[in-house]
Amino acid sequence: MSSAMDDLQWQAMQYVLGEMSDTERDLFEARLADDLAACEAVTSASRLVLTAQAALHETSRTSPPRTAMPVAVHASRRAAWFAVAMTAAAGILCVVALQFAVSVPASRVAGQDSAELVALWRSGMAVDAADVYDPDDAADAVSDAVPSWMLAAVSVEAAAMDGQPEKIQEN
Amino acid sequence: MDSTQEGTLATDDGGPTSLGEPVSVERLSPDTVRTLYDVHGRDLQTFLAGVLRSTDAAQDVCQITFQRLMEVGHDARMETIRGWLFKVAFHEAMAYRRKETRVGKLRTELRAEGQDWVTLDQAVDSLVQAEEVGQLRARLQELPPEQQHVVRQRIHEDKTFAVIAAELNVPLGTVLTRMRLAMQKLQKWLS
Repeated sequence: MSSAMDDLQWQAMQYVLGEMSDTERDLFEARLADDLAACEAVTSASRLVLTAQAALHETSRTSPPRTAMPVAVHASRRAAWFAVAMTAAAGILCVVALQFAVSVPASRVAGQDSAELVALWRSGMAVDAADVYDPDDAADAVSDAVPSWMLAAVSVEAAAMDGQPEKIQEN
Repeated sequence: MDSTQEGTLATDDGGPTSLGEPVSVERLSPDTVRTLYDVHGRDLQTFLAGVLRSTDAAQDVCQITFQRLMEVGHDARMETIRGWLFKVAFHEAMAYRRKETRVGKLRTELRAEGQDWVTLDQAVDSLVQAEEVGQLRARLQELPPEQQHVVRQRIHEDKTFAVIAAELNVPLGTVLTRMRLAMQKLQKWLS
């Protein structure tokens, strides 16, 4: 490549990169209007700049120093989200376990108490019934042994312990 | 007008094309315009991108240039059609720039939006070839580090030579020489 051609290429490169003064640019553009060689030089410079820009853009997107940071950030973000999720899960488990520990045994105790109460009543009635035994009333003894108000009270208590509304069935 | 006479460009009625003769007064055929676009369109658009520093604007002006070709291209001679296209394209680019300058758009808006003229990916893709990009990347790696640095700072980081010189604490001429040497090597390879 001749020196003159080198100079033209370099001028075109400076023109494309916007490195010319206003006067230099005006002079060069006056030349572009009529000089195909100058136009070709600008085309060549422009092509080189565009290609290099694309190449450098790709390099910067794939180079380790630039990608390392976002990856690290993403990793730490993932860890943070994982920790938050695990904490939330543990909290929910604790709440569920606590509810289970409080409500289920309580209902069981209540149920046991109720059963004992009913059994005691029945045994009490049985003793009374033995004292004054009437064979005609024997068939009704079991159903009539526990009064309806007690059954209602027991079912209300159980419902309250379970946290569910329950209909009170009247006999 | 006999559009099929020898020495005329192909016209709308499908007449023959030959070189170096005065052309008919009828417009060029779409096939001829398409062929000329295939041959010169990419170079023309690249040239316009260099003049306008906007690949987007280059596309617009390139389109206008080929509209002119359809309208008055029959006045041109085929052997000088490339020169004719560049000349028309340059004049249209100047008209476009004047118009854009009047409304205060072109570069200020692009810069304000962070869109440099070489970062409009879609338009750039039509002007650069992927394999050339890959090969140029490899060539860039072969440059001396100080030249690589200047090329990267100027073309990718969009710093002026003066800023690069100040940052490196070297004379401006040193930076210019590094860039010029790098461009010479790359341009020689690319051409």
